[in-house]
Amino acid sequence: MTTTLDWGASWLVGARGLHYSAEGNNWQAAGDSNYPVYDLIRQKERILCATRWGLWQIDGDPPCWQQLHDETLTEVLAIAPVEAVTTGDPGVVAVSAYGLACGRRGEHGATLWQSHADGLSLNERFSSAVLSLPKDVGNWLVGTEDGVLMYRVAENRWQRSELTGKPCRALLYAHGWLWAGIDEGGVWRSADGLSWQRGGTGIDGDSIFALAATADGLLAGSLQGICVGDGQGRWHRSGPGLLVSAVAAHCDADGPWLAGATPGGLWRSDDAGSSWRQIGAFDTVRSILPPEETP
Amino acid sequence: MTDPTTDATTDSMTDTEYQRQVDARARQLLEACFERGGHRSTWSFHAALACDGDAQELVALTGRHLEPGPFNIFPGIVLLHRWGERIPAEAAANIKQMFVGGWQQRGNTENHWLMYYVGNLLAAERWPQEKRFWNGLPTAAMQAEASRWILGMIARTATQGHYEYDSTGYHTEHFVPYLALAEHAGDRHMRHQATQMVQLLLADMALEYFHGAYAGGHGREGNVNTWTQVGPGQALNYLYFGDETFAPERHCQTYAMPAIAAAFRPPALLARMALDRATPHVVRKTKPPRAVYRHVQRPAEAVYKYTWMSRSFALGSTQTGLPGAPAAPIDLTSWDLTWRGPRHQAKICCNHPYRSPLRFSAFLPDLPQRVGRDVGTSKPFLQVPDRLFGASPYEQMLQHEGTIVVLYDIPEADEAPFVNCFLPKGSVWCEREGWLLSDLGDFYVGLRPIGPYCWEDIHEAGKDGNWIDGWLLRIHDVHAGFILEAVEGDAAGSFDQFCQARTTAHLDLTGWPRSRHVSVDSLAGVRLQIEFDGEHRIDGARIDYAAYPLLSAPGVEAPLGTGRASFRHNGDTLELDFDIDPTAPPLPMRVIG
Repeated sequence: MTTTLDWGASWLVGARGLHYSAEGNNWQAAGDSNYPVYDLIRQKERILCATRWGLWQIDGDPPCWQQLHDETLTEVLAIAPVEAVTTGDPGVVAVSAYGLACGRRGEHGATLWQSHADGLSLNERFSSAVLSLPKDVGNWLVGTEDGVLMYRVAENRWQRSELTGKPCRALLYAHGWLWAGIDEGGVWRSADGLSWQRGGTGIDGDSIFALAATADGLLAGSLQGICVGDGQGRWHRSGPGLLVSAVAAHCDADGPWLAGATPGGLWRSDDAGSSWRQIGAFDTVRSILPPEETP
Repeated sequence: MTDPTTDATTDSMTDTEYQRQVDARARQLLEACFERGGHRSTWSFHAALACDGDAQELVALTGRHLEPGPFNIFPGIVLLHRWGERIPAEAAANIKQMFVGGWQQRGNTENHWLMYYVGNLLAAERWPQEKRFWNGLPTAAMQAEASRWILGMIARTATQGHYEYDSTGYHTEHFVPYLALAEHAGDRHMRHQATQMVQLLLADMALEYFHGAYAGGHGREGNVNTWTQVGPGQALNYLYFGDETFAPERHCQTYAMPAIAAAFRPPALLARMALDRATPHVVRKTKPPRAVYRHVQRPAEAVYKYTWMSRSFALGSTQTGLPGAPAAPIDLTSWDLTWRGPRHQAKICCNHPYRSPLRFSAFLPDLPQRVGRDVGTSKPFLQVPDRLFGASPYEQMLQHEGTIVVLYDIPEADEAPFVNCFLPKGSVWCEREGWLLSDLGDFYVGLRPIGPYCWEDIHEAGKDGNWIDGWLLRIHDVHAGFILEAVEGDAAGSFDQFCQARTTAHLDLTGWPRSRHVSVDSLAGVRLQIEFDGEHRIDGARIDYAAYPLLSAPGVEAPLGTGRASFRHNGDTLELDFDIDPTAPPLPMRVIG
């Protein structure tokens, strides 16, 4: 059954192509694309979709895809919204195997991208996560193969944080803290993005690939499955043993949680992680967006 | 009356005569392809159209590509440009649909992007009136993007060397798109630059052409590196150089058909250079650094190739410039000895079959925990312990003319603490003083494994008969090595004399591995000295690989960084000048290969 598409009210899943669902059970493809989708963000009246072949903007019903990348932006692993959209700004920054890139509108409606990787080592350039600093707009926290770095836009300058030496695969701002998921390093938290401390116990050596906020805690996607915690006390494991590459929780405290695996498909819990069931016909899921919080 | 397809290309042959030969071979290839039914793809349908086949067959062939990749995007638009009104309207509409309503995939290697951007540029020029292209942007936006990338890569290639270099599998997928641009691009500057690229890529082939084989090291070759004649390039070899007996099963290569049906005819001097083996000579080439994503502490360095083109054999080697484990490109073939003979019977090579999942994630964005299984499941041959191809981060080598020293410094804990050496079964080997020696007819070869080895056989079934069939010498030593010298028979006397000379010539292994040093004299009395992770010396003089030009061989001048190359042979000259602005920043490298 085809439903009317409401981007804001829908669950969105990035897998082979972009998929949406009003209630998080029955899924429809947003267009015919089978591109491997790595990350999603929702902005006013549009979805931005980071894929292996580049960056796309999707809007309308039926969904209309428009290219936002150029010949210098590919293998886009994560994206983040630019809060203050300036004239000519595409409203998003992107990170990829080739580092952080910022765009500007060029001729014919195309977006041209400028890499900001000068002076970085290869491992510092390879970036899997990006986050706009909520209290420091215009500066970016970037999860690289060599840990967490900060990029100060106004100064065009990179700053290394305390959290270096291991790959950072996920970044999150929630419950007043910055959170980082580290490959073979567990979860860390920070107030400023530079100084970091352990975010909970029990998964110190785990590989963390995804982070999401629940109403009062956190979900972490790890090599061994889903972890549930509050970022201070002990994490506990939940659900099947999977490489969990995406997690998301509904904004309502009693709403569902979704987890995506690489491979293993999409899983849903309606009881705060006590039980999980596989939903949809997915193989690999790399990104999940819950419905927007309604005012 | 002589056969126009097999006339020898002689030093005195005019361009007119050469072009007549190429015309005849092109016709022969197209007819053979059509007769064999090989025309049923968008790459090879040129054969059907050239041979008055049923053009309507193209309708079904073009209706299959809902999410076209580079190998679908490019050939369709070339058919339209080449054959115009001969293309049935429904097929033309199918091809157009890829560009106005498809979901195109750009891929991640240089040949992928080249086919993608050339296809899209030609389509954008053909349908400028379309308001939106397949990507949701105005057609002019795609035209501009494609032009920037193509011209940027041409500039990179002309100054730094070809990235996906000398690939037996993919050189054709570079040559053919540039040729399509040279013939069909609307923009005059693009046509000019593409024409020069076609000539540069053909010169790259010609300099290491050896009886239907692409000698020397290869950026990408894969699991067919014990074959003498390999891949789609066989068709280009036959078409442009033509010194082989026509073999339709080898020469009618699908991916070369757009070139075979094209009007382009190179100057005869490139063919003459390819076929001129009268005087043994050295070919040197510089290629750009490998594009490593991560897991290493420093970027790769430039690649330097050295190939000795002798009358009866070619020996080629590579300074890969790799920055250490786990950066080890899966398809790279660093060195081999090749001569004239059937598949598996005319190659000698050795390889450390390096394994690590990080080897894949060094070049791919996927999670390291997954990528080994992802790639290995679809390409299990990349993980087998008998593997004879693919770079090892623990291999270094030094070559002078027909002599090469290859050394390995493999960590004790490596999954494959050994080295594989391939020898043909058709050769008769004798052993003296640790050397294995063989009389190969016109030339002799001696090889000296370093480390204890056992003599095994290797046979792997595969398409076209078999992938591999021969002897496998496995050197069970983390400090394995391999010394080889090949010498023309007339320079060495009898085989016995060769054996006597080779086994008594200076060889010093006392410094290996403790002081990381090996030295050996060639039969000509030239001393090769290699220090692992250190200097390479020939008769005491340090080799400065960084001084290698873009290309060098007799009659060839192509300084690095200038975008200029000149080729001279028997009074004829080909000058290429890409008119490079040395102050312009290079196009950012965004492809692997």
